[in-house]
Amino acid sequence: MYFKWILLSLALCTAGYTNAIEIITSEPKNSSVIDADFVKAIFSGRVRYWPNGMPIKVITLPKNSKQHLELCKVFLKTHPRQFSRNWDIIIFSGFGEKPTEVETELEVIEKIKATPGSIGYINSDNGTEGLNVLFTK
Amino acid sequence: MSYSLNSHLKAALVFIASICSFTANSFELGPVQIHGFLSQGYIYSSGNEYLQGSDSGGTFDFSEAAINFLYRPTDRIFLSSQLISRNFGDAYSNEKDIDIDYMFLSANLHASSTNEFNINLGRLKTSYGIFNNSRNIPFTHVGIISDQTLYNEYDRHLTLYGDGISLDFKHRADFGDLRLVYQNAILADDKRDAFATAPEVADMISDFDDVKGQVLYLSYSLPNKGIDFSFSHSLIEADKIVIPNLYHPTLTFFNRYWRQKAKNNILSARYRSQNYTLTAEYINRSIHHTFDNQIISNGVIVSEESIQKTDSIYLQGAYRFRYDIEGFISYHRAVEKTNGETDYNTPFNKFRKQWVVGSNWDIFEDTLLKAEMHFIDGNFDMIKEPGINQDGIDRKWNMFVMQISYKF
Repeated sequence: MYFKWILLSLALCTAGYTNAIEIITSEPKNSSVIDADFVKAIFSGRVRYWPNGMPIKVITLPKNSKQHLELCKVFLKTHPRQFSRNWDIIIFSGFGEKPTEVETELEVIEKIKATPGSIGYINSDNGTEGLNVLFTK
Repeated sequence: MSYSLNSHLKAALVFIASICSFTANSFELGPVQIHGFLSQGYIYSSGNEYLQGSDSGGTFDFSEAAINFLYRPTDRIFLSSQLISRNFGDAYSNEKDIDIDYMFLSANLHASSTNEFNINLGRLKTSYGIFNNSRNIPFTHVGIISDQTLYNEYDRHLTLYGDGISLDFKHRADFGDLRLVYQNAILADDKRDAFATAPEVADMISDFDDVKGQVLYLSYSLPNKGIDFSFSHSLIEADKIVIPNLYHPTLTFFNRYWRQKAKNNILSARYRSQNYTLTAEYINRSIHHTFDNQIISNGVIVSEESIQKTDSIYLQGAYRFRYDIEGFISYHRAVEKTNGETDYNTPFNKFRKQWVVGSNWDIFEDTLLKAEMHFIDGNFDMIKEPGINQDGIDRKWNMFVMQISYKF
């Protein structure tokens, strides 16, 4: 009985960490100009416009979510606190909009499908039809 | 430059910011995004009166409320503004019930995967150093009272913003990110703004031209390595300041034309890893004073010049112990000389050596508590002379500062 629970727990834990972070966007994928550094610059607030001039809208999950922590740690290689501080500098110096925070991955996908110029991240590959996956990390 | 409304509006701003902060994380009124913050501080100093009343039981006379708006009518244009109400002891800034922190139009003229070019018009924060654009926002940096030679609290109307234009160019390359900003603005059109640290001088001035400033800001970043370098150069000019009659025990001046030209060179460096940040900033400031057309009482016309030079550096290390707790320590050193010599008008006011130890604690997602302790030797750029109490001036003194802030 205990062995079954241990196996189930291990499976759940493993499932939680094997899915990589996927960066998804509604913008057309153009790998020659949108590289990993460009996407990192977007999430750090250092780039505000897509190459076609469309303003970038960043969609985030809650700051204590597993996906957000992984985005910061694995992809951006920054501390989540530093992520928030970067955006506070942008918001309170008047140079950009705050990222839109949604609660679930499904909401991330729906928001990105409905918002031109938006970019976000999820931890699964479900429901991304019609969106472009820029990177998997 | 001054924009003063009555105290009812000040109360209204604080009220609106309070209501907003307790009802939502942020607001969107149609296409307008709204944010803001509230802060309340406490300052206790062991000796010199850093803030009015700080050395006699401490003072809570240190608070801010701000609300900002951003509206994007088209993809490439947005309008942005922040109104702020500030209380800081007996500082001149308190006379402005509500101040416009910034209010500008930003237009993107070019965007590609490697370049971005924007033009900004209106009241703009002055771009220098690492923190000036956001130095009055508690959530954007560790510590409460930043280095006072670079980011002076009393002199903020002259150094924090200006009315003008800025050109902002960014370039991304394999060797790193470059950013170049050129700013040309009127920094002060009011003698009280220009002489906020010395109101007794402002009172003597009869005629005053705008204080104009130009800033060149160049930064180089290696984002993947967490390294930032920047160089800021600013030229600040006050072409005509007339003091009609200045009576001195031995001499009397009539129509004293005073011109000031200040040059600031600032070097900044920062390294950020996941858990710690190292910051260093150095400023070299030179203020050239020229007194022309002085007619002293015996009828002799004289001209006089003097140069004030300041060198100041600070080093800061910050470490994140947990997601919500960060500690820091910093060392500051500054010295000012006039014509190559240290001139003590006020005891110990031409140098400063300072240690600061403090921490930030994110009590909740949007609530930040900060506390810090200053150990200070000297007073340079720390105390405003009219604020000194009757007990005299201490060379070595300590200061404790706490601040709680809420953002939405």
